[in-house]
Amino acid sequence: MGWKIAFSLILLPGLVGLTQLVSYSNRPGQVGQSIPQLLPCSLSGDEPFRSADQTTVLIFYHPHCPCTRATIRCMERMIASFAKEPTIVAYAFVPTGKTEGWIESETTDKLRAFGNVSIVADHDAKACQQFDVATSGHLLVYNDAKLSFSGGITPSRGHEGNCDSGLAFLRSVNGVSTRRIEWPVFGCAIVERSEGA
Amino acid sequence: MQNPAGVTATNDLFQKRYEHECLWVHRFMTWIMIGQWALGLAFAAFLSPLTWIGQRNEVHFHVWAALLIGLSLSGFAILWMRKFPREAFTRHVIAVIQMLWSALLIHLSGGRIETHFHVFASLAILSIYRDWRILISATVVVALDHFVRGVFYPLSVFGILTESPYRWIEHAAWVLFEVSFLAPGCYRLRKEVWELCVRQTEIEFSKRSVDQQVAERTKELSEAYDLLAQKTAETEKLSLVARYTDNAVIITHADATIEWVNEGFTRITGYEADEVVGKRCADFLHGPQTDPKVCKIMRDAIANQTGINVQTVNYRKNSEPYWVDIEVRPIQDADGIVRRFIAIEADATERVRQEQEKVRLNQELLDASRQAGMAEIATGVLHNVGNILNSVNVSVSVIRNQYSKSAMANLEKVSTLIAEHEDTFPEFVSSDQRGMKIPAYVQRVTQALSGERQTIDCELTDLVKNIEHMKEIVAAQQSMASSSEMIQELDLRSLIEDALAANKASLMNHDITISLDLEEADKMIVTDKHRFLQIVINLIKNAKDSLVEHEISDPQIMIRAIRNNDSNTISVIDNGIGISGENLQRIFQHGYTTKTNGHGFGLHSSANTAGEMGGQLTAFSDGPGCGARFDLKLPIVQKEELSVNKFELAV
Repeated sequence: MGWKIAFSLILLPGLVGLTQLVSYSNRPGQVGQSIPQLLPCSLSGDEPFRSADQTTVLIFYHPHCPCTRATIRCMERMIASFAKEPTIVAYAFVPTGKTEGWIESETTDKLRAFGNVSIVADHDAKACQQFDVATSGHLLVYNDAKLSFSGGITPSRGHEGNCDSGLAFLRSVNGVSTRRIEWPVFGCAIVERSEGA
Repeated sequence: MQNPAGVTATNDLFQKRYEHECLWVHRFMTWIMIGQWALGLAFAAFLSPLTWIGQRNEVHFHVWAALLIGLSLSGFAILWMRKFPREAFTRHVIAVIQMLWSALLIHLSGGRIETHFHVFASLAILSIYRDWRILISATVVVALDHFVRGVFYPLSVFGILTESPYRWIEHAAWVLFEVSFLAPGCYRLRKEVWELCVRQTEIEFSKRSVDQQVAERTKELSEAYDLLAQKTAETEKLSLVARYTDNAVIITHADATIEWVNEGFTRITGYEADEVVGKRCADFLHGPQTDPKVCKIMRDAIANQTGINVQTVNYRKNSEPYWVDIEVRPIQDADGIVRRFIAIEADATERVRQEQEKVRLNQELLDASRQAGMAEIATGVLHNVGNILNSVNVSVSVIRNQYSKSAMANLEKVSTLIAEHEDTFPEFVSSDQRGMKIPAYVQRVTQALSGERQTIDCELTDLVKNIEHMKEIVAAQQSMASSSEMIQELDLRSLIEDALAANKASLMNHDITISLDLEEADKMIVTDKHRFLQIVINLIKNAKDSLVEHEISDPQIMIRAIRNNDSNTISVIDNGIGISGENLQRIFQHGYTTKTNGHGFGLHSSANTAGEMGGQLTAFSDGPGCGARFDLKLPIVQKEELSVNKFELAV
């Protein structure tokens, strides 16, 4: 009888932990309710977007968020499937008091490696606030300046792989309309809830 | 095709070998579990050490997950393998844990495609167990993991699907695809091991059979060797016996010609072996004193090929005759044909001489015993006759006294007086003073003579009885010597009175008071009259002697008879000097007496006679001065038994 209790006590934390891990992985980050449906002409303090009639992909990320690495890997695989090269702007969060060097990370390096990605230091998360984005890995797709996709492209937090949201993103970038625009985002919070509100 | 024993042995061997294999895989899996834990920690530490919330960070959940969940899974698996190393379900537990580890590592690695290979690698590792069933368990875990994590959980929590609803099936199908190859492989490997076990079992059985045959042959050889050694030892012993025995051992052919003789033969007969080989014993050992009958018996035995034991006289080389015991036995070969005779001859000269001497001594002893017996019988006869002769003497003395004092002398005086006056007898009777007294005198003398005649008649009667008794004693002793008895039914009182009569004179002379108490006994008893009288007369005489020798003032002898259950006891009781305790122990011994002129034979003889009658004679006394009592206990013999005995005697 004693060994049954002992085995139960040993296994129970593992099963509970796995449950919590699944719950943690599938818990999406905050998604703003006032995401601009139309692409703004310019971002305050930054240069204007090149062409509003092109497909524009905005990536908001926390440079040090390990979960966003899955988003980048998912996107890395999708780029080859883009029908035409979109305008990709990645807003790297820079907290107050930090220099732009803070954005240097593996995620930033990966994005740079894409070649056609503009890395923009998002000091104090101004861009995030402008687009009402709060979670790292949140992507916005504007086709002809119109919002066609909002959300993450990973199946769960920090978990790369094919998923419906990723497929919807790819379709959106390729100009295929999708019924659903908003998808959950899985990643670290770029700003704390009080800040993002 | 194996027999049931072979199948069982194969099963046992397979089970043993498979369990041994599983134990090895368990040890391997233990290190796998430890390595996976380390790998998980490394994944968490390098890939997702921190989680960020703005500019603030915390230890990432993956780090804790790698530490605690990994510890839990690996620890559980390791302990389970140690607790249940041989059970089949342990392998399923390991499969489930391994798949959970795959899920955990995929999580910790951010769902990298490369990490998914862990699932397939794990399946390959699990296939080392060669148990395809655990692959099914692993597949089920993978499918459930993907279903719950990718489909069920988001749908149940958020109401939306973040992943394709069929993706988990795809994952599970790929896993199943691999399992579909691994499982037959496991089955084949398992079957190969089984075949190996079958072969090994067959080899072991064959080896065991060979070993058993070798062991049996070895045992048989060993037994044969032991038997040979035993026979050799026996042969050596027999050789020693034949060589050193004092007996002569002769081995002859079937026609009785000598083949071999031992040294004992030479010692007994004086002939050397080379002198007798090829000859017959009868040609040189027999002589004038050799019994021809024995010679014929031996010839017949040789002719009939049978064994004999005879004793005869043989002759040594120096012509000296000697007695010999000969034992001849035919020796048969394996076919039952007599090929040889073996004769053992023992020199019996000394033994025969001793036997002859023994016979002579026995004869002498018998003669001496006979003479002693005759002497004893004569002693008994004389003793009993002597007792009677006492009475005879008394009677004769009485008669002699009677004659010496007889009135016959007076009658002669009267006769002389009458003769003197024969002519004048009438005047003499009528006128003479003396003649006138004659008639009265003659009358008195006649009366006296009449009394004397009665006395003498009485004594003569006793005398005749005593003489008759002596004759009967002699006859009884003769009959005793010839072991015959004269049992008859007798009146007890009459017997006692006869016994008293035999001692009457001496009893009367010494004024001994006699009393009888015979009422409590049987009136008639069945016994040997003369043996009874011999004993009782002896007891009365002894009682009288005891009273007389010690001059008892009021001498009394009481004769009492009582009946017990199965016997009558006749007691002779006196108030004489009595018997000391020490003498009571020895009083029936031959030659023991307390009388001045005794011989120590009477009581000894009486006790023996009582025993011969089936009774017992015992003595009692409270000590010197207290008198003595002798009890003659006689068994009650019924008249019917007497008749039967007589009939048997007649037959």
